[in-house]
Amino acid sequence: MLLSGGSRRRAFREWHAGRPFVGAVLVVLAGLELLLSGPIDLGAFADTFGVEGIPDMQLAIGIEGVQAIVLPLALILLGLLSMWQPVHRIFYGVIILVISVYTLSGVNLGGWFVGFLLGVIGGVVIVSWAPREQAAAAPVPSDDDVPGDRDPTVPAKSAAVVLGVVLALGGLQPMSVAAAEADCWDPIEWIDWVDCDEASPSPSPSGSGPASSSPSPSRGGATDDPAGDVVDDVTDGVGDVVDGVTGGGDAAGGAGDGTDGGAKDDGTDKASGEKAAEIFSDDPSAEGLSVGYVCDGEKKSVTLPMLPAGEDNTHTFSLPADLRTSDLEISGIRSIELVSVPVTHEAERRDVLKIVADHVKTPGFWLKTYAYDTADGKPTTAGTDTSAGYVSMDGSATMYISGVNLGCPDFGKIAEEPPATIVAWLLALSDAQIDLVGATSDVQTWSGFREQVWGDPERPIGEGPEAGMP
Amino acid sequence: MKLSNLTKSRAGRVALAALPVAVASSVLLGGVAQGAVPVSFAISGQPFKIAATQLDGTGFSQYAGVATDTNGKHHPAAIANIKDAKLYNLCQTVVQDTSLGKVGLKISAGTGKGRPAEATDLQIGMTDLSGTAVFRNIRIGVDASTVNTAAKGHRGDFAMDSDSIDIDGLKQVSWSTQAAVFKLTDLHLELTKGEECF
Repeated sequence: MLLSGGSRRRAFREWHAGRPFVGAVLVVLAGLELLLSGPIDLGAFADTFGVEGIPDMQLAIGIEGVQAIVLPLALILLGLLSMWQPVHRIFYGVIILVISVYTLSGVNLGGWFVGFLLGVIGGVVIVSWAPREQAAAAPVPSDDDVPGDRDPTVPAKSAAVVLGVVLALGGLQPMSVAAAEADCWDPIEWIDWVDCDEASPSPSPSGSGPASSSPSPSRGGATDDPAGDVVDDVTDGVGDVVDGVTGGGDAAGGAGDGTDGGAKDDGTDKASGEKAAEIFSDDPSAEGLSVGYVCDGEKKSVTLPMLPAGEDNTHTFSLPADLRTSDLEISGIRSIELVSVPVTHEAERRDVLKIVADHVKTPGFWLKTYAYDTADGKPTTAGTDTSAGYVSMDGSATMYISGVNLGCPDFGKIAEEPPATIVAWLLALSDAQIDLVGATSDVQTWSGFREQVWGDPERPIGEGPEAGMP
Repeated sequence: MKLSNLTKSRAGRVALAALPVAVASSVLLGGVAQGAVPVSFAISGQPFKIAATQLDGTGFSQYAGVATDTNGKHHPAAIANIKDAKLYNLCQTVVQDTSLGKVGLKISAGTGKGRPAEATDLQIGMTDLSGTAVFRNIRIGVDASTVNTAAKGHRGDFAMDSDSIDIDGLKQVSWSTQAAVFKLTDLHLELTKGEECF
């Protein structure tokens, strides 16, 4: 291009008059904005524009992450191309419009509308732009990069724009556009195009898949016995050491009664240990339900001996959680037995007391779970802390209990007046902490629960009014 | 009117280009707001609050996990997966203290009667969850690597899963939310001065 005495500014003006400059710039900006609205956090994005204090939120778009990069890049490229090759402006512009509209669904709601608007305005400017000589019908010195045949005939342009309409709407319905084009190709009636297409303009994604995604594990061999309401099973389970406990053939339906076991009694006499030895075993290798207690600040553990009833491999458990309840209501007991279940934490298998009942209700529910991991290279312990007004379990309600932790029980009283059944004994443990390995049921209700994650040193849950220990 | 007359003036060409785009955009936006056109997005990096009067979900699991904030720091979180979720009166807010005062973003959806927001393959990294929940076929205490959802946790961690989960009065504080498909019926998105869902 010859700059005959003209200033640089004039040269630029001529250059930029020969192409849809403004529109192209807008489209490039649209592409940049959409790119930044993707998996990059908004706060940093705002900071680059000098806007302080926008929340540091990261916006990514899951599976569609690829198109969040490809579409903005395509917009940038198309904006540059329409600047370099104005003769193809309508082709580029139409594609820009289609992509811009599609970003509403595909790229974070069109980059929170900003990129969408920039792209649409830029695209319209590009499509509607025409070289000056066409509009003014006056010859203008043409640029070197613009070929002479750049004036498309008017009908051709109309067709291109209508094609844009079809494509833009096709962006809504990629599946139907191919068929719709053949039937609805009518440039004059394009506004009615939507009506041509019988389908509603809403692709229905296959979002609602079948609900039954999970193979429901077969439950409970132990619950086979429908007549198991009687606690005969208990007598099988509890070791013969506990004559008082095993002797009871009481119906467990009235499990709430007959619990005169003074398990909770701080007054301990010196002989409690000896009395306890009559019922509980302090042999660590003994099989049975572990009973931990703290007397005089000393942690001890004994075992309530039970005969193992075999293995239960229905579920693979991890590690026990701490369960506390203000009360424990169990009705319709089907079976109680000591089973060995597979676990993944610290051991291969663990002996647990498996209680199967029709209905279990635990008012004043509090459950603390544990997870061990490493964060930032340091071993951390964290977990969840759940409290609820009550938790009720119905239908094959099954609890797997690996131990019971008491305050300081009066073993002497237990030995003198042993509860009729182990369930009765458990029911009497109003303030006991239970090592809950697992619990399953057909239906379970957590009424008024609150679950919090503990273990984050920066966000301790102990600060809230209801947080932490029950 | 002949179409070719329109293209002779710039205003005509602008109209010709802008009108179909406006129609297409409004149809698409209407589809998004109606929940007919799904959008997919994820938010993470800062705790935010989610509330819903009711959540009906199928294919639920929960286990321990780690959330990463924008500074790259790790925080323990409970990872909850829901295969399909219907959220009634969904509200989501994030608030940031700034030199100009509090600035927040509030998204609400599913406010129409019988028209919940729907999410597929929802995964939430949360620190606080409350409400009243009903589970069906629940298993508490199973190993996190054996849960009945596609996403699983680490072996050795305490986990739970269920075939369905219904929560009334859901209130949740989360580090992250993502969904492959999010149908946001009656979508409403606004900048606030720090107003929160709860």
